[in-house]
Order: sequence, then C-alpha cells, then structure tokens
Amino acid sequence: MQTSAATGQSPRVDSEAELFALVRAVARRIRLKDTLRLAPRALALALAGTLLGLLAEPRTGVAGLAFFVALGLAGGAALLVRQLRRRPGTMAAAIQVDRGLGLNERVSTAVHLVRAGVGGPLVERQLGDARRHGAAADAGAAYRLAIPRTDLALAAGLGLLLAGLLATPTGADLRAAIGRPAAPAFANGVGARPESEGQSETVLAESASPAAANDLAELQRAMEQLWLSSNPEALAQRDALAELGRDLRTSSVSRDFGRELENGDLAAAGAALHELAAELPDMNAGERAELQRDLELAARTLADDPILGPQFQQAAEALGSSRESIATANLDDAANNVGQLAPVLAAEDDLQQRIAGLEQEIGELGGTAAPDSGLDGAASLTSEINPGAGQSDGTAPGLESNARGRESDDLEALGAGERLDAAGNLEIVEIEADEDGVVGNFAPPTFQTSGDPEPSLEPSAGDYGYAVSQPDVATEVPIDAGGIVADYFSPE
Amino acid sequence: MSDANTDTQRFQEVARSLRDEIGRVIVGHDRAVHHVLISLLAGGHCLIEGVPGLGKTMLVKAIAAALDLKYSRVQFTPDLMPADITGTTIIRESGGGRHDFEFEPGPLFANIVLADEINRATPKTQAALLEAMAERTVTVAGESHALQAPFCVLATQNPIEMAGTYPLPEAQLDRFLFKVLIGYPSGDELEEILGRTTAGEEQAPRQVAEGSDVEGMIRLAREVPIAPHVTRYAVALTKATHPDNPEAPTITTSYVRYGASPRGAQALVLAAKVAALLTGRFNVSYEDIREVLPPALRHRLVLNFEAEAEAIDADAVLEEIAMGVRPEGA
Repeated sequence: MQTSAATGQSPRVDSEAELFALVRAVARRIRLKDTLRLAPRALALALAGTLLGLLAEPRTGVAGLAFFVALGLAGGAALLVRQLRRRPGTMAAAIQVDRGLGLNERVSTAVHLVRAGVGGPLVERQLGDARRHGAAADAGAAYRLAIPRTDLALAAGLGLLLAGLLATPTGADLRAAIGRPAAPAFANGVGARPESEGQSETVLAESASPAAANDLAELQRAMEQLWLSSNPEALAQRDALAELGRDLRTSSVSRDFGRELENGDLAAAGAALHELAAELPDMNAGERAELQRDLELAARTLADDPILGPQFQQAAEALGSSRESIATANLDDAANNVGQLAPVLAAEDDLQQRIAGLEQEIGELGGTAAPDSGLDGAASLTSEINPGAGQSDGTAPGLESNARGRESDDLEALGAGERLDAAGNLEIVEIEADEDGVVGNFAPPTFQTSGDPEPSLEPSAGDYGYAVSQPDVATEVPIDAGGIVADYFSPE
Repeated sequence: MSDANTDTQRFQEVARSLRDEIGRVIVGHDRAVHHVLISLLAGGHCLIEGVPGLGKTMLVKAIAAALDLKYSRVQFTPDLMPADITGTTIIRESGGGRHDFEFEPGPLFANIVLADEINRATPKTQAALLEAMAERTVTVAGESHALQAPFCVLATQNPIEMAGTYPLPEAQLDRFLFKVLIGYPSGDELEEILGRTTAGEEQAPRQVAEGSDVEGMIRLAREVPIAPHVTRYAVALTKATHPDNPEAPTITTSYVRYGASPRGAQALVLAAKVAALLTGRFNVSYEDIREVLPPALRHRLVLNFEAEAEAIDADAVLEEIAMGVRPEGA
C-alpha cells in the first residue's frame, strides 16, 4: 500500500481525513443553519409570549412588562439552547454533502464504508472516487446557509405588533379594552348611591393603596377603578351652585342662601333654603317678586341639573301664580337635595384627591416607563384610562366601552338595598330609602348607548349602555327591558 | 482480471465496446439497449416487449454475436414441448451391442438463450423455463443438469397479438430481472435504418468479450457498495407498490392489486449496481435506483380492473411512486 508524501499515512487514511473534515464542516453548518432558522422562531415565541402576557395581565394578575419580556426571552433562549445541543449525525451531514454538491451518494457511501470497516476490491476505488469529488469542494458550496425570511417576517410582525401595543395610543386603548375587568362592581359605576359609598371606599382603599400599586400596571388599574367611581357631574354641580351663590349675594331675600352656597357649605345652604321656604308666607309682594327672580336665576344657572333646575323653576312659577304651598314644597325639596349633595361632594373631593395622588405616582412611574413603553407619563395614562376626563357631561365617556358586554350578573350583584324603583319602561322615579332614611327623587334617566356619542332617550332592546340620573345612584344597566331588568326595576 | 482498477476499467471498456457493436446493427433504442446490457451484466434474464419489426430479435442476436458465448434460439410455438427446450434422454448404441440412455441437451444449454415470442408457447413449456431461469439447472428424467455460466434468457414477446398466445404467469414474469419495452424509432432513426438495411451488405457485430469477461463483470457488479440510506430508498420504493402498506401512495391503493416481491427489490439494487458501474461510479446512488425502477418493477405489478378501465399502466404507477417517495436528505 502506498503512503502519502504529505502525511506519511496511507492514501485511504488521507482520504478518510479529508472526507470527514468536509463532513464535519458541513455538520457545523447544518447546526448553524438550524440555529439561524430557529432564532427568529425563538424570538417570535418570546414576542408572542410577551404579547399574550401583557394582554392577559389584568386577568391573570401577573403584572410587569419586564417580567413578560424575561419570560418570553427565557422561552426563546431555552429553544436555542436545545437546538445548539442537537448535533447532526455524520451520515446526515454526508448525505447533505452529496445532495449539495450533486455527488450521487459518493461521500455518504464512503462514510458508511469507513464506519462499517467494509473492505473489498471496489471499496478503495469508491473511497478514492469520493475523495476526488469531495476534496475540492468547500463546505459553503456543499451546504448553503439561507436567510429564514418567513420566520424573520413573523418575528418582525410580532415585534411591530408588540411595539404598536405598547407605544401607540390605539394600542394602549386596545390593551385597556382587552384587559379591563369583565364585570366591575355595580357600586363602582357612575353616580354611585350613598349606600354604596362604603363599598366604593373599600375598593378605592384597596385599589389606590400605594403599597399595592407597586408598578405601572397596578397603578393603571387603580386609576381605572377610581375613574369608575368618580362623579365629575357632581363637581360641575358644585361649580354651578357656587356661581349661583355669588349671584345671590346681592339679593336682600336670598343673601344667606347665596353666602352659604358661595362658601361651599351645602348643608348650611340647604338649611338656609328651608328657612327661606318657611319665611315665604310672611314675605311682602316686593320680597316675593325678588325671591321669584332669584329662583328663576337659580333655575337658569342650574339648567343642566336635572333635579334642582326643574325644582327651582317650578317654585318660581308657583310663586308667580300665587300658589304658595307648591312653591314652599318645591323649595323644601330643593333644600333637601342641596343638603344631600354635601356628603356626595365630600366623597368626590376625597376621590379627586386620591386621583391626584395616583396621577402623581403614575407620573413618576410613567416617566420611567415612557422610553420603553411609549407612554407619556401620567397624562398618557390618564387619557388612556379616561379619554373623557375634563369634559363636563359627567358621564365619563371612557367608560362607554366598559358598559359593552356587561352580563346580567352585574345586576345580580345588586344588594337588596340597591334595588331601584322604576317604571316598566326603565324611567327611574325614586329609590328606596337608604340607611339614613334619605329618599331621592330622580328625573328620567339619560341613556347613553355604546358607541353613540349623543345621549339617546329611546334605546332599543339589545343595546347596552348606562343610564345616568342622580349623581348618587348607580344606574348602569343593560337596556334590554327584559325579565332580568324587571327583577331589579319594579314600579311602585 | 486481478485488481479492482483493472476490473473496473475492463468493465467499462467491455460495456462501451458492446454498446458500440450493438450500435452497428441496432439504430436508436439507446435506453432499451442500455437496460438489456444492465440485465445481462447483472446476471439476470430480460423480457423484451415490442410490436413486430422493431428489432427485438436482432438486438438479442447482436448481443450474442458481440460476445464469444454459446447462443441458441428457440422459436416458441404452441406445439413446442418442454423437452424441445430442456433436452431429453435418448437411447444410444454403445460398443459391444449395448444401449445406454444418454441425455441430449436442449437449446437451454447455452449462455445466451433467445426465447423468441415466448408467450406463444403453452404454459407447460413456459414452466419448463422456470427451473432453468431461477436455479440455472435443468432436471430431466430425475437427473439435474447444471447450466453453463453465464446463463441468460432474453425473451421477446408481442403485446398486440393476443389470439393463440399464453400470457406469462406472474411467477414466470418474476424470474425476469428486467422487462424492457421497445418503442418505435424516431424519423431520423428510421431513415438511418433504411439506409443501413436496404443498400449494400448489412454490418455484423464483432466479438468484443468472452464468457469469462462477462462472468467477471457480473461478479464485479455485485461488489459495488451501497450505502444503507440508498438501500432504504429501494425498500421504500418497493414498499410503495404494496397496496396493503398504510403509507402507500394513493395511486397504489387505487390501481395496484399486487405489488413487487422481494425479488423485485433485489432486482432494483442489483441492476442499480450495474448502472453505477456503467456510469463510472463505484457506489449506488438514488439516481441509479430511479433509473432502473421501471424495467425492474413494471412486470411485477399486478394492476386491478380500475387501472385497466382508466388506461393506467404500471409505468404510470411507478412514475408517481418515484415522484412521491423522497430519499433521505431530500
């Protein structure tokens, strides 16, 4: 047997060494290609995991962008490690060499012969033939690496989706919509009645607790809960009453009532109005005329108030037509309603303070999160939670989507003390007395259907929305006028 | 032939010379000639099918003429008896007035036997070929007589004249390594045929190899290595012809009644080894397997009535199988 001048070994050994070097190089390339192909898939998996985690965050209770990113990356890394540990077999690599170079199974047959230790007259010829064809080839030609375009496109698509979800207002809205709790407590709705304030307070204490709000997502949920509980209509009502107070300070008849209104002491204002009603029989014509003008002024100033506005208007008209008893009764009713606003506004003040505190916390956290999440601090979060914040309709438009999809379970969450008395057509006329014996009178509810920016008084069956009447009454109900509603709204 | 280098060079030289000498007589039909040579060098028997006048008999005679081998021709007819081809025992007078039984070999005792129009003989006579083709022995009057190596039956049959014929039974067909189809020549080929055969003297092939050469080539072909994954490919193709195989393609389950036998898989690998050597390679490739798939298996598939009704032949089935069965690494 001849020996090689270069290595001093037999030609067969040289052949085997050259062939196996080529096969090993191709095996490395196979592994590299598989890894390259898997990398975008791992990245896509990581992104998908992050995406799903963020979307499911409010439902699972697991919060934190970093957590989900870490989880996704860990999953992707595990896939990559698993792939890197998988080594392609020598024969598999040899088959790829044959395939890549069109060698008609020369190299793989040679590898088989060497590994099996097969001998024979044709084995040496075969090995030499395989070496002659394979020696000049390089691994790159034998096994070409390719860019996994489809997988990269998938990863890029998921990345864009995630970025959009995190960095754009639409994405934030979508995330909030998907993640919003399916059935928030009925007592947290707009215009929660006084009985539910305790419950509301509990929710607020839980959701607004700085200890619990340890990250942005929790703060966001807490803020959302606060906005659900807030009643911006009451604040507008207080502004209107203060304005009325300033106007009435020049009146000789209603000066005390006006002073208390301007000072914001609604309990005292209610008492002053009661006194005015009591003094009505003793007033002379001039005083009655001045009182009538004051009441008309009050009716105009409080025209947006569905309760007080009509009451003052009816009192003024009764006074003008010398129906003293009706005027007195209307003044007493108005005095009661003004007095009842005191605890509502106090609760709202407390709520606004908590919101302001949370906004500050979100501002601090949001400033940190902004570069990654794309959120612009507290302002972004606030607008995300309540896009209607600052509007004066008091219906918190940001809650419209919240009303969509409510189940009848919401209604069943009402306690016995929360049953609303209503006409069969959902026109709320009064509610049962609360623990303090207070009975409220209510104007016909305003129905706000989902997606309809204009209030409608003629909801159709199957629509979902919420009815706004008194600021202290939660009336968020599905407008289906079916049997479920009848259980909770019974005419008296 | 002493070493592998000489052997393989001689193999390719003889094969090339054989092809050239056959080409002196046979115009065109390159693929058919190639397959007949593969069959011969694999030590198998070959059934050549084609309509009359295409040169089937001439092809066999050319091969026999190019080889220094004993050649015999049997024209199969319905009244041909087994003894007519195997030989018989006759009484011969010996010295001293004695009479001894002596075996008189028939035409089967040759290296290359042309069984012309084999489907015209009765099944009884056809069956007389079975032992010779499979075991290379002939038994007459209880005595076995070995046939001389190499032994190759090259049979021809006409597919169109069915009256007075006896289609070969499956067991008989299975003994043939290849079934080679000969089609019509092209216009240019026909023109050349006319030029060669209608003017002057017809050329005859020259002898280019001896019996020992052929024997050596047959032995050498069997030593061509084949990698396990290539063997698995041949197995997968064979299994794909079995209608009861759960992984068989739809065309098999729809049109095949019986698939190829293990002898078919043997034929695939053996013929592929010769094909590899003929192309100057020393190992069997997927391409070699695909190359010999139709001639090695087409006569081993029994198609059902649906196939006949829809004019689906074995070649169509095998073509779809070859496309559907993917080799390892593909």
